[in-house]
Amino acid sequence: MEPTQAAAAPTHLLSVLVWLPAIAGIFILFLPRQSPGMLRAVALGVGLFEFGKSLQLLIGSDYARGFRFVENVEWIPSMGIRYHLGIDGLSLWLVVLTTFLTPLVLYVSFGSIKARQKEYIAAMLLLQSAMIGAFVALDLFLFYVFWELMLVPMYLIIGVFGGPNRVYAAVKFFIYTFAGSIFMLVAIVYMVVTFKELDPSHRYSFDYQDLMRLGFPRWTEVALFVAFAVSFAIKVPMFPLHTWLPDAHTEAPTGGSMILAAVMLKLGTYGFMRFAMPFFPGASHMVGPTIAGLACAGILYGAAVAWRQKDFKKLVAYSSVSHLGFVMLGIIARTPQATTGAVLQSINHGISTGALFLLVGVIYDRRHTRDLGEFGGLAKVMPKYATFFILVTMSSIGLPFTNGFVGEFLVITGTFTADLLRIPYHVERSSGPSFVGMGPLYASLAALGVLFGAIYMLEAVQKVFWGPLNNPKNRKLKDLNERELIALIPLAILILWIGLRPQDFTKSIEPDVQGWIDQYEQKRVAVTRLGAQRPWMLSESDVRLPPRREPRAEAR
Amino acid sequence: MSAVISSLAQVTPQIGNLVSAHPDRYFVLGLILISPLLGAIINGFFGKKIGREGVYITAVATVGMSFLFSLFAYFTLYKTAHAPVAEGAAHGPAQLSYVVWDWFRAPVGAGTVQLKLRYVLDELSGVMLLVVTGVGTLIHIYSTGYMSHDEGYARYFAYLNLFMFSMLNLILGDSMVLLFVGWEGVGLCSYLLIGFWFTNTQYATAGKKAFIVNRIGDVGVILGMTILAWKTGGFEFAKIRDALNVDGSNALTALNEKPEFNDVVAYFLSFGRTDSKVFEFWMKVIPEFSWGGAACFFLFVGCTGKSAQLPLYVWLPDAMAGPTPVSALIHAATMVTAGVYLLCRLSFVYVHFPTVMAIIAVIGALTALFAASIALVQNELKKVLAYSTVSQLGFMFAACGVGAFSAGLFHVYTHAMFKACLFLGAGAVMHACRDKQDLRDLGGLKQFTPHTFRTFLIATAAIIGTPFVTAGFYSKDEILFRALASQNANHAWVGKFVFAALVAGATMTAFYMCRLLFLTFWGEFKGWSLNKEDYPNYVEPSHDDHGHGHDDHGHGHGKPWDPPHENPPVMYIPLYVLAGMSVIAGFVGLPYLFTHKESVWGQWLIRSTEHTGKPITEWNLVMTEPRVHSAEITAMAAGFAAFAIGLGLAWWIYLSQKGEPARKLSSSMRPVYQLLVDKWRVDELYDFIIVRPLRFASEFAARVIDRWLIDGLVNLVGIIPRAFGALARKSQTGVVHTYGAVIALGLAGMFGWVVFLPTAAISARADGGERVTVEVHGGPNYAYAWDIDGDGEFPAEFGTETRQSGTCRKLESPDGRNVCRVSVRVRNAFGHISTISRVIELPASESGSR
Repeated sequence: MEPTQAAAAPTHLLSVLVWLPAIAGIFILFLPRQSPGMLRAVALGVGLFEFGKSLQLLIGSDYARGFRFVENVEWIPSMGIRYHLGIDGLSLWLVVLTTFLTPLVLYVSFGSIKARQKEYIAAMLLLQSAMIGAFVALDLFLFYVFWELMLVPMYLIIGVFGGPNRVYAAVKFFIYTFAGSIFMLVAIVYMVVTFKELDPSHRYSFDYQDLMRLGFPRWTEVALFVAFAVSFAIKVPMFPLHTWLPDAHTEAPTGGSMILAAVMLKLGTYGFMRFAMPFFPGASHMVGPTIAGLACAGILYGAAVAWRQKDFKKLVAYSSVSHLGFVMLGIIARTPQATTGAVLQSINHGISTGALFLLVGVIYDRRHTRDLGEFGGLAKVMPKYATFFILVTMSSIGLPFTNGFVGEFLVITGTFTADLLRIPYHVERSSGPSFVGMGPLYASLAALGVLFGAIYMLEAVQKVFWGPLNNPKNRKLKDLNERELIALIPLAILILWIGLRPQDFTKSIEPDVQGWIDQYEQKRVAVTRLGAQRPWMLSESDVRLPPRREPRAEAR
Repeated sequence: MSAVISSLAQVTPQIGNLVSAHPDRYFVLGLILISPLLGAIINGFFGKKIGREGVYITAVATVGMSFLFSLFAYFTLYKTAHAPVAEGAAHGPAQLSYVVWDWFRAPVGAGTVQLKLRYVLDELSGVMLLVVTGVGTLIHIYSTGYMSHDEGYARYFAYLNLFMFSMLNLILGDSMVLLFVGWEGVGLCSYLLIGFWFTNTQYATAGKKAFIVNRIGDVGVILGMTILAWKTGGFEFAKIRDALNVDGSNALTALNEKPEFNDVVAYFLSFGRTDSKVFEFWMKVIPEFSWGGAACFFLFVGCTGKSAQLPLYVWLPDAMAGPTPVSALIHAATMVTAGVYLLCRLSFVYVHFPTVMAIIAVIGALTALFAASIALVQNELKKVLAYSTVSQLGFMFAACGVGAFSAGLFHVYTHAMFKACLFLGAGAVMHACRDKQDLRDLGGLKQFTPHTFRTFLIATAAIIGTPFVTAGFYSKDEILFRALASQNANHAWVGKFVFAALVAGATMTAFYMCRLLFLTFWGEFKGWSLNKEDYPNYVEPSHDDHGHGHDDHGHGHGKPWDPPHENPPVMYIPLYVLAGMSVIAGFVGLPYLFTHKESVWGQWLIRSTEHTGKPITEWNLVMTEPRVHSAEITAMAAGFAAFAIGLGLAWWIYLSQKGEPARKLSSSMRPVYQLLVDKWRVDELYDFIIVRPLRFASEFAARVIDRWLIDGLVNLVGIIPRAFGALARKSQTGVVHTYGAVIALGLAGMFGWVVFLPTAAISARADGGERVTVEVHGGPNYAYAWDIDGDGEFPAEFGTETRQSGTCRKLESPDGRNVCRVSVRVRNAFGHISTISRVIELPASESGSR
């Protein structure tokens, strides 16, 4: 952390952001069910207040680096558990995305969720708390609590408010992600115990920066990394751990799907960036090419499977698998632009897939089916709907001047020039055995995803909007109502805003991404240099955020 | 709008200062771009409110403004280009630029570049700008007549304006990324406009096909520009150019590097056995492109998509599903020439890679031939024109491939004029004949639609290269001459091959275009007397689905036997303008043979497209004047022969013999004829080798791998706990009596265990030597008897002591460990007795000493 930030005045902004929705959610449970208007007003008010409050996070965030708005106090001293919150460029926009989408989702849901609205609102607000908490927690215990806490409201949202097969989906969602995080818990406990052994004063600590200092022998590191990676990869979800996602999405109500796709999945990629990779740079470097391969496989596989779906929501769900592949690839590539692109792409995916789920929900509300074969020619009766859908489609397939392009382009070009993904080869070309950067291979595979994206999305658009209006049930469909328009317009604006002025967003991501990479590389060198047999404590200077380097603009 | 004009008027006098003082502040470029975008927004969102007239005015005015601003900017550029420069200073390329704002930072090798929304007007973009906005304006005007009965007029003009905006991005963008914005943007508009009458599934499918085929190319563009930027250090054209133009350029060295992973691919293909014959085989087979060559090739793949070249041309003929003015503007005059424009833009890179140039030249020439062969036998007016466009684009690519970029661009320019005129003429014919466009139904139209006829005649004359008076002649002649004169450094045969192929292509062009002309305008009008049974494909114009399912303009309501009629002036005036341009446009590019100096066109583009001293254009240096003249004369003679043969044949077959020879030939060579009519069955081939396998693989992934394999495994893991659960579930009978019984039984069992079976926990430790201490923990009222020494006898009676020490005798242990056994008899309160034994390990050192 840089001294200027450390000297900043104490602030409780993050605490407010984390706890206010939960408190409001509990408060709402005590409000009378008979006055839904009041329930809605309170929920929306809290949501909008949160959003406004979260915009304060942006103040001074341009080109800033290191954790900001830090709160760090003791919580359970005997176990070394601290209440440590902080935000930086990796999490900033994810938090803002969460606060932006939650009121929007609530507002949309008021139209479609009729029964048990109170519980729904409470669950949503609780979920918001848990998600923001997980994004800003810098204490592993705290993080784990939020991480698991997230599952409960989402489980309820799917299991109570979902579709016909909701219980199966909810249980699968819960057990799958929960089983994954058990591995992480074991790894965390191992790390904490190791820290206690190595620490001169033999104290426990769950603190992010303390645990950062641990170095492990190679295979221990790999085992720990895999434990973290599995739990995050399930959340992302990465191929082949993705099968819970289509089920969860199909059964979840529109709002649940939106939040699930837009925010919760990002916790997986965020976990890789914040924890799994910086904790275990040696291992993640070693396993990196495999993960990148899985990411590419996910991009292509997700697209291929999405293409053959008949259920609209499943199509969007598999498209998420494909899009998240880009994010993972960008993170693993670890070039400033690829990783910045990955962070931006996770925001983009939140916006465009959130909007897609919203749009699918619109026709589901009207027709109570998501079977693509049931539709056709809707552009005739629902022109506004078609316009928004095509805009979102274009964003989803990465058309330039929409948000999708910038992220995908940065990831592809960034991965191309990453010479970090290396495989050994033993061909004597000129000077003996060597390593070859396989960035171009991964980038080319990812670029194919751009093509496949167009194939499945346009086919869906054609099935729904073009062609004759044959199905008599679709003749009388109503176009977007006011509520849906109000929800969609901000999303559309963001799609174009990020497309046209991405720098407004990347300028607060880039410095921290650069710092993240520098820190990672610095620690990786320290970890690989020592061929240790047992865990050891790295020196402070090995894990400190390295001094800011001026960006090497205008290369060559 | 008036505010814009007045502000423009205020600054006009200072424009000269402005340009030099603020290089990125030439805001006229911004106005050129923004006005069609404004039109798109107004028509798109408020189209219904401002009404039909409002939409027309908005659309035409915004594009017209854009054209006027373009003219203004072009003349400013012209003045800058010809401005006197200071003594000794180099005359850099003239350019005007405008920065909107910073866009994003993109990776370049180890560093980054700041990409801006920066638009640049230079000589190259200047001519494209005029063509696009000029033709665009005319077609907008024409469209107000053509679409006058269509319900979706607002949507149509919104798309068309958006297209103009995208196309301008493509032309004016200063970097490859910004070009790509336009590149994909025009693709989107093309998609929307092809599927404009979306209720027709076939049209919508055509739009989708266009977009997806273009996307295949776009993947190539993304990869190509990534490599190029990585190796040269910039996405901006100017930066790449500067990097390459220095002596001993690092960028050039970097571009010529060979990718290492050729080895790796071979390594994998030979399963890691680098000493094997298999490995050697792969090393020979895998081509060693340099990075630069790969970049150029990938970018060219993008061009084959956008500009409909082999093998990605298949979308363009289908794209004729869109309204005819769209075909004229997007699929003939402007968008499809974007590939040529990209090649010209990057010509300074391409000239370093002769092999890629050879590929481009050959692909272009083959496309020219191939598409022309299909056009020979097609019966639909627009289909013929579509294949003609593909063929003419082949000419342009062939020109670029032999290094004659300015000639290729010259053909872009002349082709835009006459092909737009032809397409609009076709639209006029269809408008006049109630959407009939089958050549077998048309005929004799010259008396009904005189304006259309005249302009169509002139444009046809231009495309078939009528000598000396038409633009098509000069541009085609320039291409033929440059092809003949070119010398590809790696593949010397390319020039001759291209020349021969293009002459053959030109002959076919002359033939099919004259066939089209004669069958449409000469002879007798057959349309209304048509016997429908003879024409299974003929569809009665439908009256109820007015204006949506097809290219209908409301003439369905007229009396069925009205003769075809001429169109309103808004439609034929643009035709005259374009026809006029088809004639005069060529005079800016008079051949060297006539004038003995570089043509106006060549002179203007010399800095953008001529790169002397590079392997590919060396002819420029080695050609002496007599050799130039002989090549020019050969080319001109060949061009003239192509024109004469094609025209003569068509005349003989379709005018003097009334098509009889054609019918005979087609029936005697049925298979060949059918193959041509079926367009070489390329669509079917692609469907068979690409689409179906891909669909099958996806289906397999979705239905088998995902559903059964992956999710199956997941569910299998889920079964294990569930199996236990199922067992447990069996006992859940719900009968309270059973539960009660089970509880009672359980309690009794526990009680019995405690009461009747004396149990105790025993712990023992070795105190050193053979001395041990044993401790036992039983229940209340327990008593214990001890056997410490391990002889099996219990010397003392039961006592209540819970701890006993003593000496334990060592046992014979097979593994040599030092152990002994202690036993305790335990008696509980009910008098039941049991014996518990423990084996204790004694300290090893003691046994050693003993």
